[in-house]
Formats: sequence, C-alpha cells, structure tokens
Amino acid sequence: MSRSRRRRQKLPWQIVLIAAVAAAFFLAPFVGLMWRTPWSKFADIVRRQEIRDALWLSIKTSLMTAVICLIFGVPLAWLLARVEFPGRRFIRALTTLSMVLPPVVGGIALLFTFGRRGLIGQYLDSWFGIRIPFTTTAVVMAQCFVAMPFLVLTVEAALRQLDSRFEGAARTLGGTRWYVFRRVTLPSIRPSLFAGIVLAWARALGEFGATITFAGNLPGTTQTMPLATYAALDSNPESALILSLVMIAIAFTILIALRDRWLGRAEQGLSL
Amino acid sequence: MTLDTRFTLSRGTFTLDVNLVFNEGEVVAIMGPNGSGKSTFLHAIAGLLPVTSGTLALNGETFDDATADTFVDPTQRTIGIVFQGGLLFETMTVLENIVFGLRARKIKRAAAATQAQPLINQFALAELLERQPRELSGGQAQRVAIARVLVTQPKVLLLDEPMSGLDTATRQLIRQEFREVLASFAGYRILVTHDSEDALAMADRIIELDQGKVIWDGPVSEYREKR
Repeated sequence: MSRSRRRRQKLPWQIVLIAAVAAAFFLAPFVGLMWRTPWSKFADIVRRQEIRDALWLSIKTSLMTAVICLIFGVPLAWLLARVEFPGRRFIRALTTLSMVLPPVVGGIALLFTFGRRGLIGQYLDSWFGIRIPFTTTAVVMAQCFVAMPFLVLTVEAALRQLDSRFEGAARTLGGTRWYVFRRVTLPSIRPSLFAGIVLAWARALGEFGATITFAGNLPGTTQTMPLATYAALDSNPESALILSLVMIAIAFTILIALRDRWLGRAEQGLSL
Repeated sequence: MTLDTRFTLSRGTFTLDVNLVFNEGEVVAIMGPNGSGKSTFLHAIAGLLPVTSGTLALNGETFDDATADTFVDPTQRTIGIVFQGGLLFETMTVLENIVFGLRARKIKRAAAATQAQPLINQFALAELLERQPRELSGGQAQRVAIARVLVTQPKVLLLDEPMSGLDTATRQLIRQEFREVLASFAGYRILVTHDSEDALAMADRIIELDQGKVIWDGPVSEYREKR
C-alpha cells in the first residue's frame, strides 16, 4: 500500500486512544525512574565494588548461559523439528514449560533436584563432594533453565520452515548427516540462531526468581545485577535506581543493535 | 547390469507401486500428472525415502529391502539427482555448490576446484564461480545444479523436472544442453517430466505413471504412435 493511500485512511480514534494509553503505560515507569535518579551520584555508585562485582557476575554468567544454551539447545531443537520419536510432544511441552512457569518454581525444582538432599544432588555430594546450590554454577544452571527454551523454540521454528529438500540434496551429494548439518542446515538458519542466542542471553541477564531461590544472594558469588538491585532497594534506594538504569541501558543496546540486523529478519521464525 | 525397482512406497494415503527394470545406457523418461509419484520414485532410488515393501537394487547390490532391513545410506549410493529448481545452497557461492560433493568426501578445497574444472568449462561457469545462487538466471542455476551432481561421478543420473520454471527461450537452450549431458553420461539415466515434448526429445523409453501405478511402459517410437 502506498503512503498517500494510507494517509487518506481515517484513523479509528477509539483504537488510537487505547493504544496511546498502553504506550504511556510502558513509557511512564521509565520516566518515573529517570526522574528520581540521583544523576550526580551516578559515577560514584557505578564505581562501587559490589556493583562492579554484580555487573561482572551478570555478564560472565549470562554469556556462559548463552554458550551452554547454544551447545545443548540447537541439537534439541533439531531433534524436535526433524525426528519423529515417541514422546516428542511431551519433550516439547517440557521445554516450553519453564517459559510459562514462575521462575521461582523453577528455582525450587532445581533446589530439590540438585540440592544437597535432592534427587541428584545427594549423590553429587556423597560421591563426588560436589555441592551446587549457592554457587556461581547454580546461577548459570538457573539461567539455563529459564533461558534455553527461547533458543530452542526460535531455532526449532526456523528448522521447520527450512525446506528439508536442501538437506536431502546434500545427502545425495555425499554429505554425512553431521556434515550436512554444519554446512547446509546451520548456515541457512543463521539469523534465527543469532536471534535465539540473543533472546536466551537477554533472558539470562534478567533472571531473578530461579537464581535467588536456587543460588541465593551472595555478593560476588551469586548476586547478579537483578539481585543486587532488589537488595539495594531496601538499604540504598539510590543504588537501586542507578542499577536499574544500567540494566535498561544494556537492554536497549541489545534491542537497538540487533533488532534490524537479526531479530527483524528472523521474526517469521519466531513463534513465542 | 540393471537398476531394479520392485517395490511399494506408502506415504499417507498415497501408494507408489512399481515393478520396473532399467538398463544401463538407456534414457528413460518418466511422465505423469502432478501427484502421480514421479518425484517419490526418484527420491526412493536416491535413498531419501525408504520403500515400504519390496526391493531396490543397483547392479546386483541391494540398496533397500524392507523385509531384510537393508538400507544403504544416500551418501553411499552413487546416485546423482538434479532436483526441480536446482536446490542450490543459498549460503554458498557457485563454486562451493559445485565442489560440495567433493568437499564432503574430505577433498581439500584446491584439489576439489581442480577436479571440478572440466565441468566448470563444459557448462561455461567460469565467470560465475564467486556469485551467489540467487544472482543466477534459471538456466545458469540448472547448469550449476547438474555440474554439482556430475562432479561426484554418479552411476545413475536422475533429473527431476529439470526444465520446470524456465521460460520458453531458456527451455530450448537448456533442453539441448541436457540432451548433450544425457548423451555423454555412461550410466543409468532417468528423466522425470510432465512435458511430453521433453520426453520425446530426449528419451529412448517412456514410462507413464498415474496415481502411483505404471500405466504405460515402452519405447519412444511406440509412444509416438500411441499419441
């Protein structure tokens, strides 16, 4: 539709009004946040050791999560998209479950599985002396639990859309399944793969509920940015404001940097 | 030496039921309307679809036997198939497409390019090697597709509607080229088409499929008379 025709259309003011309320609802909290932010103390607070620890921990754990999601999520997505096996729907539902679940429930589930008396955790402890809860490992596990579905679903949707005849053609040319996967399948779904990684990473960066339940809130070890922000709200609201602002800045940077390049192109493959 | 296809293949409500023997050296055209099972037949030979019952064998080697649980992987069948529309890999250059089968066999990049050179010359692709598939015309894409298959030196050459989607002028040109390719290829040659012009121009023997069954099988001369 050309621009001139669109302009001639009469806008239904009722819809515009309601939409404006919705948009304002998203905008107002940010304005409120910025309005109360003690800008003069910004540099001081950001330079504080516990803040820098939290920021570094968040970046470190979320990047590790992104890599782990990539390594484990892509094969899972491929299996769900390409192979008929009994229980496939169940596995897919299970994968999606942690997206819908309150993260705190995920944290509890992880605690009762990998905790010292948990289903797996008791053996990890008595056989190997490994204790996962309240460690940085637990932070990464909690993040993976909530973030991986974003990658799995994005990549699975892309694989479903991909014409499997290309893979067939590659097979008849002599490509083993693994070779075809690396050389034909993965390059074809690259935009969705990036989108999936970014979504998983962003979700990991914002993780709160599962982390605080399973990993606790130990500065330097498990206290990520969202946890530090929440902890600061009680004792030092100014820090909480500034930490929030830092996270908004990070989120915005992700969105702006990636939206058009990858997320936009992968939109059709995204069935969230 | 023969290519024996005596099998049924069911997919949903559709069943392909064939009992056909192909001889080395003959050019066979398989005709029939959409959904008659032409492509399914080629895909079964190439190993992209397993047969439901019966056997599929090339020169005495069983490729697929539903009862004996034998299934030779498509990578091991030495069957080249040129797909409808070419199916060039969009994320690779023309050269990478052509040498794909060689690279898959762990042949080094430079050696693979050298090995592909005669075909690159034969199909006049030298100028196009660094292009992306989407930058090619329909005729060029089909030439790349056939070079990509021939470079693997298959024993069987399957062409699945190689001329569909091409305009009439290109069609004339490509038809001539495919005729030369088929003439110079020593192994088994099967061409799938729904265009009797193509079939009559290129084949020695014509097989007609309808709803998964063979309704005609005979030399091209008889087919002409029948028409």
